[in-house]
Amino acid sequence: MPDGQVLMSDPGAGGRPTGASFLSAEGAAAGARPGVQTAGREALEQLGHQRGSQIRIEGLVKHFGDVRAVAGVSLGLEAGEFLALLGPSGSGKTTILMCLAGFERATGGRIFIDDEDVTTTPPDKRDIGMVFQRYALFPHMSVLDNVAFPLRMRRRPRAEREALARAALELVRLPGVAERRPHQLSGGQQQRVALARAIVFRPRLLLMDEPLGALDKKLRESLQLEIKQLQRQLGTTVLYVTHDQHEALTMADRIAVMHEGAVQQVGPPQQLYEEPANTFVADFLGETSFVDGVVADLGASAACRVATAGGRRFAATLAGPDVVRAGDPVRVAIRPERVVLRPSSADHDGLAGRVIEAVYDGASTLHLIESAEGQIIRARLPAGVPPVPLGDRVDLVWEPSSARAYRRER
Amino acid sequence: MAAAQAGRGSRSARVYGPSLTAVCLAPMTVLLGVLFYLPVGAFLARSFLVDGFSTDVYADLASRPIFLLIFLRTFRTGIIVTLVALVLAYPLAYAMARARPIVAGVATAIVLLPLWTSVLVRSYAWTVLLDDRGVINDILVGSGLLHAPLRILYTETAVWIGMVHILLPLMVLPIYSALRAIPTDLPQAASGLGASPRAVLRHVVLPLSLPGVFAGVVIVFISALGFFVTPAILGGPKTLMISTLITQQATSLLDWPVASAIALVLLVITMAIVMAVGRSLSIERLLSI
Repeated sequence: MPDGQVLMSDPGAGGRPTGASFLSAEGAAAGARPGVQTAGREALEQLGHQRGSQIRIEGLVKHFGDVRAVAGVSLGLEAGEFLALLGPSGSGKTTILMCLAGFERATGGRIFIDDEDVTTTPPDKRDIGMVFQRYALFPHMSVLDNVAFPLRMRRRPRAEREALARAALELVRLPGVAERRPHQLSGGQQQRVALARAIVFRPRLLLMDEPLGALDKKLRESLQLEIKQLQRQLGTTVLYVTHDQHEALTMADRIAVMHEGAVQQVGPPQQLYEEPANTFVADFLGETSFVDGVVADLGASAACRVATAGGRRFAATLAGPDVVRAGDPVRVAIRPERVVLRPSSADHDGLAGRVIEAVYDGASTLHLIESAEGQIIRARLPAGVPPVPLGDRVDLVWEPSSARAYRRER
Repeated sequence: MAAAQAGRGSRSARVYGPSLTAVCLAPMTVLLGVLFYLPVGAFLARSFLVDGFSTDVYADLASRPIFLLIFLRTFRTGIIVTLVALVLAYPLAYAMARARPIVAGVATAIVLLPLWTSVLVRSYAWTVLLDDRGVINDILVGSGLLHAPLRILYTETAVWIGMVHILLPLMVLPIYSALRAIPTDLPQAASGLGASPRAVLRHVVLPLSLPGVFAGVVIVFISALGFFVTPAILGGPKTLMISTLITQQATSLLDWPVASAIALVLLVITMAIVMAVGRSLSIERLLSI
């Protein structure tokens, strides 16, 4: 390592990469297609503004035999809100969706749509639109008949349902495929048809169960923005189930992180990313390194100093719901993009270690640093900053507010 | 270009090469050719070979109303048996498709069980049930519901009952497999979009199970046309069906040309039906994914 060179990443510049890319990407998409938006305006007017309903889930419990899939979940959705249920598979998010749709009967708790209790209402009486992961288009009907299906079930006149179905198809940018069969369309097109079918009857709530899971990455990202735009234009209330955190961060007004059948944290994407309520959320959302230690002393408000087993000390901020006293064991979560690497120096008090791996991914270079106690800490340096050679000793520096200390069991 | 060439020829010819395919097909081709097609062809040809080539036998057939009557009776029986089997089989297949795996497995075994029993045994079992002094009449008369026993055995009704029972599995199984092939999210999507349970059945489940229904109808109808044992046992001499008639002509009356002519007419009509339905089946295939 060249003497005197400061290896660093600015804590601010790399922060909240997902939020930043979301804004710029949406701006680009909107700017790139000015014509499409105006073309869709007429269709939009024809479908009318769909003010979504307010949803309230109170203490929802669902058991499958001995397995408790949902363990008392309470959630509210404002009218017109886009809420993402984010969690690993088996966390109960799809079960909540199925209970809302009425395909599963809740074991306990209540579900309200605009203060109407729908807990035991059959699915066909709920007025909820749903988009499935595998599209679930009717293979024996044309695209137009698929989209018009919910209107047909509501006994609307033929001319009206055809006009509305065509408007919905235009809204999802699929004019001209109305007479085709679903299997003649690509996966992305099929999912647009499914979306048109789910909004054409102005549902009180739109449920989406990993709707982009079967599509490739590029298509997924462009559809994310389209769905988000459409939802905002229509004012539909959306509950969106996904295990893809990027998708949730990009699309949702608020995210509810699920784990083991319970909601871990609900909040706007930025809040969840910046202030995770516990180590599960910190770990699940974005990249996080964990360092275990003991609270050495407490400062003003939430400031504290944490001592590692090896005797190193560093500044951190207390987080999470638990009361923490001096001497309590904590687990400290640090975002890799908030870590600054400095050349090793004798008077450094905080964590230090040796670079054991450096992985370049285009936008940044991820460094793995092994501390003297054997803990692995990740540091992400933005592209342009030269990577630190493997084997070099470095000091790890961060803002105290970027290291969030959660109480852990001893 | 290469793809177009590969597309020609059978799939096995592409995978195994033409010579190996020929070797694999040869034993069965020889067996069928020598032991089946040749004798059947020779038998069918006899209808045209009475003192040299002639079609007199067919003119003779057409002039005797009894043959027309038996043909009509056979087709009427085929249609009735097929319809009754369909009406009985669809709800059963539907219930099986919706049942839990264990229940569905047991139901499948129960449906299949009769297939493993001899048709002869099952037909004679029905004579025990349907006879004037059989189990059913004993119950009806014994309980005072009827004064005199109901005449069922040796009527067309007995034939219908026996044939429906014997052919039912052949109707249930294709419908069951078609219903099972419907992805669960399709009925779910339909009901979520506002379709009542009845509407889900009518607009989604029923249309998507049609290929199975067609398959079952074709199999049962064609089997019914050629049924021999059950009509012979349960129908008695008064309700002759085509296959019984053929046997009678060939073995009792030794009138081989007539037997051959009847068989050929039956074969032609059956093949016409298969081809007609086959065309609609391929349309059905277009509808599925």
